Amino acid sequence: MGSRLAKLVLAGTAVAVVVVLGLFIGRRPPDVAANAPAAPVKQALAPAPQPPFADPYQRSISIYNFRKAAMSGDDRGREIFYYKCWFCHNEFAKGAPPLKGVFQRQQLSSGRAATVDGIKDEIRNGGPGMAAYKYVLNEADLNDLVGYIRDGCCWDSNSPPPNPRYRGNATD
Amino acid sequence: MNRFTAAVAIPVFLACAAAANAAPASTMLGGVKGAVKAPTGEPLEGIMVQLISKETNIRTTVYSDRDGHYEFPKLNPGQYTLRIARPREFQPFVKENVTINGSPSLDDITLTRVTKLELLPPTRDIAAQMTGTEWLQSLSGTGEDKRLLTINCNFCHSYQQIFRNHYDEHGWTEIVHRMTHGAGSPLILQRPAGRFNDTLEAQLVKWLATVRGPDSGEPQFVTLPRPMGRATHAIITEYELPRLELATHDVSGDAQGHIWYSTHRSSYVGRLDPKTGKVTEFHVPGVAEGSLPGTHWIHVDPRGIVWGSENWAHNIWRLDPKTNQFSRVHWNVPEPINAPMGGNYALDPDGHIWDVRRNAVTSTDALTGEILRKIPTKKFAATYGSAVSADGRYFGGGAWPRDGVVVADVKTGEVFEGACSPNCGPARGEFDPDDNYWAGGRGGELVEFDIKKKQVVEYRVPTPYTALYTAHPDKNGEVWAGESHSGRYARFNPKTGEWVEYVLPEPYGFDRESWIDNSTTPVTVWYTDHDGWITRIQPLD
Repeated sequence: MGSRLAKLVLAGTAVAVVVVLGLFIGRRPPDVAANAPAAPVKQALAPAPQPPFADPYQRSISIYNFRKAAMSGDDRGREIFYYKCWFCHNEFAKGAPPLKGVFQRQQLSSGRAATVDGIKDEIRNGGPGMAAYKYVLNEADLNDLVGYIRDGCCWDSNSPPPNPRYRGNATD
Repeated sequence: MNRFTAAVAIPVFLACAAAANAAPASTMLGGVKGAVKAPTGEPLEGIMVQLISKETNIRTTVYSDRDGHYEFPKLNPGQYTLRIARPREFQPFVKENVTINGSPSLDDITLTRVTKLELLPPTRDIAAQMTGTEWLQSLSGTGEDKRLLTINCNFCHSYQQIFRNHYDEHGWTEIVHRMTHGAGSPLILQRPAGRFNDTLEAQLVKWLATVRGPDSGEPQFVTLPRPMGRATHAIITEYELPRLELATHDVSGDAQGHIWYSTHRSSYVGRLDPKTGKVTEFHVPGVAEGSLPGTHWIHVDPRGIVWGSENWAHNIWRLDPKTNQFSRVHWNVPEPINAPMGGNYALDPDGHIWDVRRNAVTSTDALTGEILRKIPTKKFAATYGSAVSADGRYFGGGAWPRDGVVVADVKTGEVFEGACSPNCGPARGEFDPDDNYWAGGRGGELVEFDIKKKQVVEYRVPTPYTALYTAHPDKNGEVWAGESHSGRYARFNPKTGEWVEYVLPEPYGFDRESWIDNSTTPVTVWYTDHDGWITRIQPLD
């Protein structure tokens, strides 16, 4: 009997948690959130950086690791931005805010701070309309990505980045 | 057969068979040579041996034969990097600063397996070498789960771009929704109705969250067989392009031997000189504000004029390379800006543009955009691909996302609308020398419209989970098609039913459009991988 009651309580608690979480997740945030944002998660859950690959010439490995343009830094951040951010946050699409000048805003539309930590937190945890990237982008990825958003953002379709593997001098 | 006949015929037959299987003594070879073997001394067949020029970064790849021997074409003297492309089950092999001068033999290459087990460990370096086929063979899930993905997600990117990720169910829901409701590859315009219904969308999300969720771990990898026999008789050359993230789309060759390429989401197109690897870029003039730049179809006409379609900004441009002058005509379509306008067109010998839109095979004046002729269709309102036969008599196009082809006899005004099997999805293609139309089927098959019998015939690619985009018959009637997601390029002989699948140095084969150079013997095949380089395939037979 006690075991059955415990199961019922457990099930009821689980249902309540799901309902509350569902209500919470289903809410679209106002432009300026009234509530203070959740504490930032300091560590991404994605795999830690791995040593540079043994064969730097296999393009697919560079592609897989977002390292076609550079091993690290803003150029790598731009590559991550293009694949993980641009297809929603671009100058043409409606819905997701453009990210140019995001550091000059008072706060993000989610209410998180428009700072390095706040933006990393936003990317890690996502929200309505946005995936949580903490399972796929590690700290090194986030550092490169957020550095680019701060210093080099944003993508220009009229000027795709140079390919460091190209040896000729392209002429126009 | 009497004893004497048998005594002569059998050895002759065996000798012929052996000759057919041996690497041909091609005049295209004659460069450095060597051998690849296992630590036991056993020869390794189907290994991709690559030389990368330090000067140009042009990559030349040949395959080891069944005796483990490989031979390069004659290359310019200089410094090269010698490596094994896509070593996969073997430890990487890279040797820097190899001097090539003449045709000496190189030291044997000994390759050691990364594991004694059949399945490969899921390190990032190995995962990154996996084709989409190998990913799908390695991941758990039902056939229906995988079918949902291969039918609905084979168009815009490699499967690696999906499977390198881990997201929770909420994340996959958001991403799949964006992808399947977005118009064209830029996904700028979101449509209420997705590619498939909500129930199936939820099923795909559930599977992705299971096999690529936060806690799902990495699979042990199943690998496809390495190439053997005739599939090792080719030279693959890869050319770098000046920019990244070009989403290169089409290639087309000009009379000077240059290869032109289009870029799908940027304002540059380019012209590659295969002799030097040098690229000349051409900046397509700015598009209307609020429109994404990008050229989809590119085509060099017999006068050397280059044509391009701006799929998001809805223009057809024309470039005279002698003057470097672009001109442009706005293409009047009902689709909103940044949604695909149709993309693929064909020029007839009179210089008119053909396509199928709004229930008609349509001819348009390329210089003014004025519609010249309409031949109504009944079953298929539009085609994705457009092709015109060499003499201009026939139009053909694959009707993807519908399952069929449209072929019109321009002379008589007859239209044939042939259906193919569910999810065959014929997209782009071309006519063969006998005026049969061939299209690449998204479902992984070549789709032929037999012009004499007026019927559709389908030929399935041997490698599973392959998607085709385009098909190009050559002057001999053999049909070529890049195998998206299986890292191979297919050659099919309709007379014999033989398939040859050339394994590529990168695991994509994400062929957007190919161009066959019929001036060479054997023919030369060019394609641009959507991930940003141009590949030349030179079969040795």
